[in-house]
Amino acid sequence: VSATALAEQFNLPADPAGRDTLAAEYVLGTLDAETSARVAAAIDGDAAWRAAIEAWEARLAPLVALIRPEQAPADIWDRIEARITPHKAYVPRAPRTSWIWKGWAIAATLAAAGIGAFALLPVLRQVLPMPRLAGPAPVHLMGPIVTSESRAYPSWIADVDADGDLRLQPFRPVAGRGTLPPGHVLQLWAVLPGATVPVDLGVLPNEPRVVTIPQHVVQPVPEMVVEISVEEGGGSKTGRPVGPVLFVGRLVAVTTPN
Amino acid sequence: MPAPKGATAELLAAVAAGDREALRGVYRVQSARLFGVAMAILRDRPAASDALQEAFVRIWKRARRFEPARGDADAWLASVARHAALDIARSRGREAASDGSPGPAIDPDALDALAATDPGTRLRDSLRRLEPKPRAAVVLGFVHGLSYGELTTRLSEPAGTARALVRRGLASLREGPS
Repeated sequence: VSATALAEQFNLPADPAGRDTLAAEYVLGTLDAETSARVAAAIDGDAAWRAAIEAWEARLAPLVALIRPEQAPADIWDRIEARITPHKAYVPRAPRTSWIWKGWAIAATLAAAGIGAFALLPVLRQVLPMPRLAGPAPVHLMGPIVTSESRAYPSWIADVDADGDLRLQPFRPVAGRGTLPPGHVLQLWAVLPGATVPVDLGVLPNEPRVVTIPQHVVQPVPEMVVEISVEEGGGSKTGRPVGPVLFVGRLVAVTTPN
Repeated sequence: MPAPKGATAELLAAVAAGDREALRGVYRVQSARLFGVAMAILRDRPAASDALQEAFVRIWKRARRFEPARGDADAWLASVARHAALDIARSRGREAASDGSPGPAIDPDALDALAATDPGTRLRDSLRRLEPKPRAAVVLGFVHGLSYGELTTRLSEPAGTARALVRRGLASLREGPS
C-alpha cells in the first residue's frame, strides 16, 4: 500500500510536513477521538507514519518523568489476569454465521483497525432491535437472570454467543413493564470468580434489546456472576453498584443438543 | 522504582512469547509509574484503574510489536498507558468539557526532573527555549492529556488559539536545541 493510497484511505495528509504535525499531535494526545483513531490505523499500514510517530514518542517520552508514580489499587492485577486467561469453554462447537455475526465481524474488524477504536470503554454493543428467542443457540455458558421481586422490570437472560462474547437478551419485554423510575438506569456488572470487586460493563439501553459485551471488556468464564443494578443518573461511576442489585445470575456450563 | 535498564525489554520479550508471569513482572515494577500516568490524565481512581487494566491487556496483546532496537521499553509502556487513559478521557467527553474548572496541574516550568537522562536533558533545553505559553501547552497537553478546548481554558487564551500554540511548541521541539 503506498503512502498516498493509505493517506487517502484514512483521510490523512500525504505530505511529510502534514504527516509529521499530525503524528506529533497524536503522540501529544490533543487530537479528538475520530482523528486519533485514523492516525492509529495508519501506524500499522505505513512505515512513514510509524517512523514519524516513533520519533515523536521518543522525543516526548522524557516528560513522563514529571509525573508522580502512584500505588495502583490492589485488585487490578486480578482483573488483568482474568482478562488474559483463555478458557477453552468458549470455543464454539458449531459456529453459526448469520447477518448478526457478520455485522459483529465487521465491527470487530473496524475495532482491530485502530487503537482509538477502543475509545468507548465500557461499551455495550447493541446487535438486534428485538430479541429472537426461537430455537436453541449453540451456547456453552448460560446464566438465567430473574427479577428478584415485583417484575416491574424486564428479565434478562445471559449467555455466551458463538463468538465467545457475553450476551444479554431481554426476556418477556411486555409493554408497560420495564419502565424505570425517571432518572434511573440499569447498569450491568460482572464479578469474576474470586474477585472482590465487579467489572463495570456499562449502562443497559432503555428499550429492551439484545446487548453484546465484547471480550476485551470482559471475558466470560464459568461461575462468573452477572448483576444488574438500578442506578441514578448516568449510572454508578464508582466502580461498584451504588443502587440496589435487582438481578443476579451465575454463568454455568451447559450442554446443548446437536 | 525503575527496573534495571534492559530488564523490562527482556520481560516484554517473554510477554510476547505468552508468558503471563513475565507480564506480572512488568506489572510489579511498572504499575505505580503507569497508574500515575493514568491518574495525571483522568484524575479519578476508578477511571485510572480501568485505564491501567486496559493498558496491561494491550501490553499483553501487543508485546510482540515492541522492538528494542526501535525504542525504549519504559517509553513504550508509558505510551500504551497514556493512550489507554486518553481513550477513556475522550469517551467521557473530554472535548466537550472545556469550560470545567481545571484541576491541579504540574508546573510546566519545573522541568529539572527531565535531566535524569540525556534525551530528557535535551528535551528540557528545547522546552526552556520556548515562550511560556507554547511550553505550557506542550507540557500540560502531554502530562494531563488536555484537549485543545481544555488547553484554551487552562492557558486563558482566546478560543481556537491552543492548537496554534501547541503547533508552535512542537515545531520548535522537532528542530531540537541548536
